[in-house]
Amino acid sequence: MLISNMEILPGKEVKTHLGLVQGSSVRAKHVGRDIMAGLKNIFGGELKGYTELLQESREEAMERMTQQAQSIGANAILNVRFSTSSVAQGAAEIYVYGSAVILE
Amino acid sequence: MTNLIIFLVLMTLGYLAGQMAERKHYKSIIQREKRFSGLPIIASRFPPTDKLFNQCLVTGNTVISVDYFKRFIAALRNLLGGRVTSYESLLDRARRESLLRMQAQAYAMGAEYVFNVKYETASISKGRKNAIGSVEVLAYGTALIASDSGTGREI
Amino acid sequence: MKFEHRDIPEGINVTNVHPLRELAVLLCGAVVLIVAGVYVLGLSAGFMAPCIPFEMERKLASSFPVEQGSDGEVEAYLQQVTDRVVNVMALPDGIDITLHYSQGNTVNAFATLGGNVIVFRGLLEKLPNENALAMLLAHEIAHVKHRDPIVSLTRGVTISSALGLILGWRDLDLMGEAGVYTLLHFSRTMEQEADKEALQAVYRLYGHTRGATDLFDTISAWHKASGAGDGIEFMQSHPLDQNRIESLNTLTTSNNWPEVGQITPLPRSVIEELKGLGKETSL
Repeated sequence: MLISNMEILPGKEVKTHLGLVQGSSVRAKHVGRDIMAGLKNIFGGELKGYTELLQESREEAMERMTQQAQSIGANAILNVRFSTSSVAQGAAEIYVYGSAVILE
Repeated sequence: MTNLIIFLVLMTLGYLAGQMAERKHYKSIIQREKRFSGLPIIASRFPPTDKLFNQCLVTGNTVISVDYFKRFIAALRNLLGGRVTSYESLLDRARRESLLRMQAQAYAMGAEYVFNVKYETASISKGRKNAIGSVEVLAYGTALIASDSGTGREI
Repeated sequence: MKFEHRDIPEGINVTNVHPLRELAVLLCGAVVLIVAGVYVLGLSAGFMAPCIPFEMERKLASSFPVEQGSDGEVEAYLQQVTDRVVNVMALPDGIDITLHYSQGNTVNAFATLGGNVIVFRGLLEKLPNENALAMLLAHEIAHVKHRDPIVSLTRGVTISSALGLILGWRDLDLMGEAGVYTLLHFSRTMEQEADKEALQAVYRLYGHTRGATDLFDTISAWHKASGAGDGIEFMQSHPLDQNRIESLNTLTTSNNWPEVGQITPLPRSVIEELKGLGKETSL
């Protein structure tokens, strides 16, 4: 599965467009991590717990999007975009979507 | 004690009503998706060049709210960490509903394609204790209407 | 440009799990987490409690009402026995015992904050001899020596305020009521430690341990008579009377403390005053 945020792939031609595919994931970290992040807020710096949380979420969202594309027989997803929103405190939603296509 | 009773009543109400609403909503979403299956939704920015098109911005938005039961589950999940399953279906419904509304708009204009589709998500009404209850999803794109077709289609 | 519509299967973007099952799992997890967290918090607070100066503990206790007894034969006698017990118990500097005698019929005696020891007439009139009384007083004084009241108070207050914070109880009344003061709960380990310390004191005082277990015989007999019975040991903070007697006997034998010796009776005047008062109140 080719995933790209370009719309044109040099040397390859889009044979068929299959429409939009999307993946989303909402995750929360356990309360311990939340407390640690709160402490870290005093000193600043990277919030490892949350970096991890968002990375895990993003991977899952990508996986779900890929799964959708595979199920309709696409071999590439072009024009992929990410969007992040905080649905509730301590929980983040990662949303990823793109055009499923069949490449030549 | 009264608080507990109120809580239990709200939980049961939230669960029953929420489940029913969700099932109904999904049914209608699937039905409408079938109807609009002929209208391509594409994230690409480059429209086909084989004929001339009129362009028009189309949008569709939805504000959807989570029921008491799901909110409670999400709060517990926040304590333990992991996948917040109760918000997943909420957002899935909101996204698909917004897209369908956008498609309906484009369809009414007699569009052939909707290009450059994008989503925007915002949590509104950050009310009590930051625990939000509702999410707005906006889907927007450019409807391409073949310039020779005069009037719109009937929905 | 070619476009094809293909149906995407349902349920990729949602986790398929029954909401009620999810609720059950989450509730169990949350309860376990909260209980464990609060327990650990309470334990560590109790661990820190002995660092609180005794002076502060006494100030804390002075805000609670303490029943003042009248000056009588019994008080004088109790004070005298207490002084003798305190002498052999080697209390750390700064800790001292204030004895209170209550006219109540309750069969009880307890130690509480600020070194206050309260003995009820109900229990006193059931005691067969002075050795048992010394054992009783030594047991309560041992609690004070080990700082048990402040430990259990700190533990209790920490646990209830942590629970209150988590569960959002706003109308939490932490120290306002005298209930906290009189209902201090000692753990079984605390009781056993106090028993050991008390038996040692009785040995030092009389040169033998005879009569010490009479205290538990008395309480045990009263339990049976009043129908409270031998409950499930697990549910009570006081180890079962029979178990206590046994563990004390083991302690005596392992230390080679003589089990025979002269029993000191309670003074006649004290018994008479107790009986007299008993009749008065029963009328």
